[in-house]
Amino acid sequence: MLDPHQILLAVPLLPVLGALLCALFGSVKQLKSWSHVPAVLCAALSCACAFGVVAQLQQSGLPATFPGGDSDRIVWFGMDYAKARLVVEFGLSADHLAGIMLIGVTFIGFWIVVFSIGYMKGSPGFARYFAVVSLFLASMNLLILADNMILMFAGWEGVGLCSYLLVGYWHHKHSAAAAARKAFLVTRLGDVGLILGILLLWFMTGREGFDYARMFSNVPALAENNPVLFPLSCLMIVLGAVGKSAQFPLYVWLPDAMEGPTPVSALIHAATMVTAGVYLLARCTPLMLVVPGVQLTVAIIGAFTALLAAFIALTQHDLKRVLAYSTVSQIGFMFLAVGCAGPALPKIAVVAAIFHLFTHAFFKAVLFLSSGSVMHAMHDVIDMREFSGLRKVLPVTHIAFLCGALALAGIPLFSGFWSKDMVLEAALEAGHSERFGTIYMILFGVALTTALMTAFYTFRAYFRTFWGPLRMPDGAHPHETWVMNLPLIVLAIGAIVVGIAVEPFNQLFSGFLSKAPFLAATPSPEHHLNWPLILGSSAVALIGVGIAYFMYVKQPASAAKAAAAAGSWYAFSLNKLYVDEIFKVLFVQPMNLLAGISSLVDAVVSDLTRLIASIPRAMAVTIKPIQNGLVQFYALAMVVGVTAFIGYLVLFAK
Amino acid sequence: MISLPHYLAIGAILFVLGLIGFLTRRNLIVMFLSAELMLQGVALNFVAFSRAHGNLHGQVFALFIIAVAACEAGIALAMFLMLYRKKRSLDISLWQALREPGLEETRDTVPLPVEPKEEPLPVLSVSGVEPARKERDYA
Amino acid sequence: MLFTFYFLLFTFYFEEDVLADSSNDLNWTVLLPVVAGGLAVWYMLPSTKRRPMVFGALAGLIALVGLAVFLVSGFGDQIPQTVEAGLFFGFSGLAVVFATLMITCRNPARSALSFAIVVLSTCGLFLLLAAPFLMAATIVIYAGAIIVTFLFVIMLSQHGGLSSADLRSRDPDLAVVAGFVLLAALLVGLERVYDWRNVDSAIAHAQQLAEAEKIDPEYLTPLTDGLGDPLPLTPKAEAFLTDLRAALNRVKVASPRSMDDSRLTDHKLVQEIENDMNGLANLGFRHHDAETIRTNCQKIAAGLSRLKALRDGNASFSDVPRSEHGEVKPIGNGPKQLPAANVSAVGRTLFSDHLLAIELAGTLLLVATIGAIAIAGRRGKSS
Repeated sequence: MLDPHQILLAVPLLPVLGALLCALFGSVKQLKSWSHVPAVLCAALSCACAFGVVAQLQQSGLPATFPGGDSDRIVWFGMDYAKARLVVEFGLSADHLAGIMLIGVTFIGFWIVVFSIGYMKGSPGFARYFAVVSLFLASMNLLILADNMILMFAGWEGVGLCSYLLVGYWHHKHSAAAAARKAFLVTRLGDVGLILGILLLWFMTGREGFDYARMFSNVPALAENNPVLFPLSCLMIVLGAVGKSAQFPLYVWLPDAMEGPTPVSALIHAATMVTAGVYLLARCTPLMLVVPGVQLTVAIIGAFTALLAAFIALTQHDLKRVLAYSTVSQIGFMFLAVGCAGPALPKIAVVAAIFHLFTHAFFKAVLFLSSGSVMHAMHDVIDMREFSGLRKVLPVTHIAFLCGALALAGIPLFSGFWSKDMVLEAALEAGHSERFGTIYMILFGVALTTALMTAFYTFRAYFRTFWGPLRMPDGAHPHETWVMNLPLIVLAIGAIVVGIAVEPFNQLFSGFLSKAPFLAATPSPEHHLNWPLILGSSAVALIGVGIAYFMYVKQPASAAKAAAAAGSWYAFSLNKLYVDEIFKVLFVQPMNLLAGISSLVDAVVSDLTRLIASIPRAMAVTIKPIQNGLVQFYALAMVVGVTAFIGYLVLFAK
Repeated sequence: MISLPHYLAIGAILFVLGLIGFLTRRNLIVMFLSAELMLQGVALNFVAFSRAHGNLHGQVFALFIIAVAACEAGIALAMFLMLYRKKRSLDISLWQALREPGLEETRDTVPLPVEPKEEPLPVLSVSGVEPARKERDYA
Repeated sequence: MLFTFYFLLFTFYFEEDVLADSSNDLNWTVLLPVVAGGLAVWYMLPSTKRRPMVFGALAGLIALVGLAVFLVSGFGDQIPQTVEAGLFFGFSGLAVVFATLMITCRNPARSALSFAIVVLSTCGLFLLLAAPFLMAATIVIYAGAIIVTFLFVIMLSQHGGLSSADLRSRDPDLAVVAGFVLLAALLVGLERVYDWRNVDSAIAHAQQLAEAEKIDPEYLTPLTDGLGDPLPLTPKAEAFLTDLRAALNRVKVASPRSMDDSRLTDHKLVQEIENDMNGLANLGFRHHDAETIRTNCQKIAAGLSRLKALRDGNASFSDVPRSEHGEVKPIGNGPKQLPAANVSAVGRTLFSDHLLAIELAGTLLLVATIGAIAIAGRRGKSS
């Protein structure tokens, strides 16, 4: 049996190897079209290793670590002097939370890589794509498996980098390059908060090390000793999560990030990277539990973002934009759930968030992949006004999209329903707590409204794309290849059954996750199905689907009439509430001004330097004509010099 | 009486005239002759000093001057022949290749005065009968 | 180039100072031949403008006459009407005229022939200077070998006649100016070294004043009551002192100061003469001290004579180290005796005092021969 420590190391390391091999293949002309092979193989192997890690976890119940057992710690970098000590180690640790995340990331990542083979065929930079995707998988795995915060931050930055590279994949396209920059810079704002929070925590825990075990030991005493700094550091960490997970106000990059290839959107902006924030908050639950104010902030941010994004998604015409805002909204749900830990039992709240994250990964991935398939067939047109009635020509895509849509809308018995239900339950329980109970109740109401809106816009998109008369834009040639169909089918099956298979009838998921060391100590809830809530949320979802059906299938003209009647609300929603424009005026333009002034000063300085540098040249140009190559001129110069000298000596010198 | 300074003055005059010739004339031959003229002035100086001092060192040095001038003449004339082969002219202004790169060649801008073309002598027509002539008489 | 040109112009602007300070240095005896000669040469140099010869010839004639005047009167000696003088003026005149013709003639063959005549004239001068071997050697080598080689080269390369290079000059203005300014400097330098007239007259004047029974009242400053600034000297006294100072400038020599200051060096002598002159001015002329006048004038006259003798070479420096190679006899007192058996004497000097030099000269000749053959030897392979 392979050493579990080695298997653990293989999970992030194999995709790195895959990335290197893809890059290598890409630089050799004959191997260029085979560049996908290392990526696929390494993703598959990494997935297998992840399953192995989880199996071993299930068996032994103890987290796997690398370097395991009694081996020496590996130091990544650091300085260790008397007064200053900063040492960062390289160590991996997989507990149950990490195991679940790993399965989600590697499994979905693998199928998306397979999908990409068909989607990206024939585009230039084929090898570059697979190399960066493999690098992304490696970074994400590192983020999940890191056992100290700096290493986690390294993975955090790695996924940010790969997101930038992949969103800007078609870098010659101006909008794509701008979107990549925007993504990177906006998440950067969050990263500043994150690193500040990490360093504050390190400082408060005595500057010894960054590992989670140390950070989370003796938290109550920590909070008591640092009444100001501790909540501040937690808030900073929340800021980091807000940036990476695209919550208000740092969500503006996610819709623009749809400029990248659709598998990228599926992988990074639906299933994995944006969930890193939620993972971080879940991981930092021991810290958050002692600062209920910060928890409330998280919940408010989550709920508000969910509502806001759903509102904007109601009117968007671009299919991928709808799905992007939907992602923002669903992650808002996850934030709401995490924010309820404290008032509600952590075992419910955190499990709800992670469960929703897990199912969301599946159904959002399948939704994005099918939209990618649609886009591929419609020759890169994704505006829903350009096509309709595609169920006749893209059958597999249609079924996959339907499965995903059912899950997203929260229709009973599909995976999204159970996870959304858990989130609502957590919010409801938090609403019953003494402190902030009312606010949580309000948030519960907001979440319910958002669920209605979610169902509506999801099926609006579905009906507009796949129902109605068959209309396609020019140049479209609908076809479906097996390499693109297979992942769709697998993920669609996942979207349907993953929910019901593990919750709520057999507690597989929550049982597994509750064994995680940071949750194991908290009190366990009693499991019961909250029937009123189940019925209520099912009704909400079905009402949403019904309204969409009515407006887009039964009476297609009513959509336009409703939009006209809504008037300014419609305009607000269509224009994304003008948030981009507000940010532009508030932040972007002052920065541009500052950059302009700096470049002006720079130009002045460089011009000044050039001026000074040109003086010797000017002097030389004046003197150059003396060297005209004529022998007699040179002799004349000598004679004139001698004459002047002798003339002075004889005629003037006393 | 004619003493040292008179000879020195003549030596100086010859030297300066040679100097001006060297600086001004563009024909390689005349340039070199001017250089030799300078050497003559110097030799005159040496011989005058030799007479004034009463020893023969000055005359010996003037002999060396002659020797060196001879060597110089030999090599210079060989080089002139080589230069002539390259450019078919003895003008020193043609050799400007060692000027600053980027500088334009110095050319003569002022044209020479045009010599009035001489009227060709009138050709008279043949008078009388031409005697018989063979071709090879025109050799 | 322009800078040095302006500098040379400056030299002429400062002429007034120069003329005022050291008497008759750059005066018309030097300026006339120099300026006239410069004009003549400049006029006659080949140029694109047509210039009739007559003006150049006229200027040249004036220059020659000026030169003759300079040589006759510039150095203070009377030129005796001897054969030597006639031969000297003849040969040197011929040399100068044909040198000018050589540098201004358009035809290079004529230049070569003019050079031949210059060489012959110079050899005549050599003969006057008791160097018959050198005369013969020069004629043989220069006029014989070198000029013939030149004519051969002209024949080989300019058989078409005059080329455009012969009809133009490169920068004649600046070259003529520079050359003739140099000539002016050289002639002025010669004059300064060899023209003792004003020194002699100053010494005579001082001696006369020293031996006078009664001091001429025109030298004495009118008496005052002794208050206020020192009164100015009378014009005659002023002129006398100016002459003395000019004479001192003429004769003082920058000799090295010796280690032992007790000996009478040049520098000390100059210092003493200056002190004497100051005493003459203050005590003598201003305060009417006849004894001071006489004593100082005597000492000044004696000092100036000694300095002049040192410069002339009639006295020897007591502290200047002599070289070991040959004797360096002082120059003064006219031309020295040279051995009549000139050839053997030259040979002896050559091979005993200058052995290394002659061997090197021989090697140089060998190398030059090989070099000439190597350079010009390739036929038909040059690209």
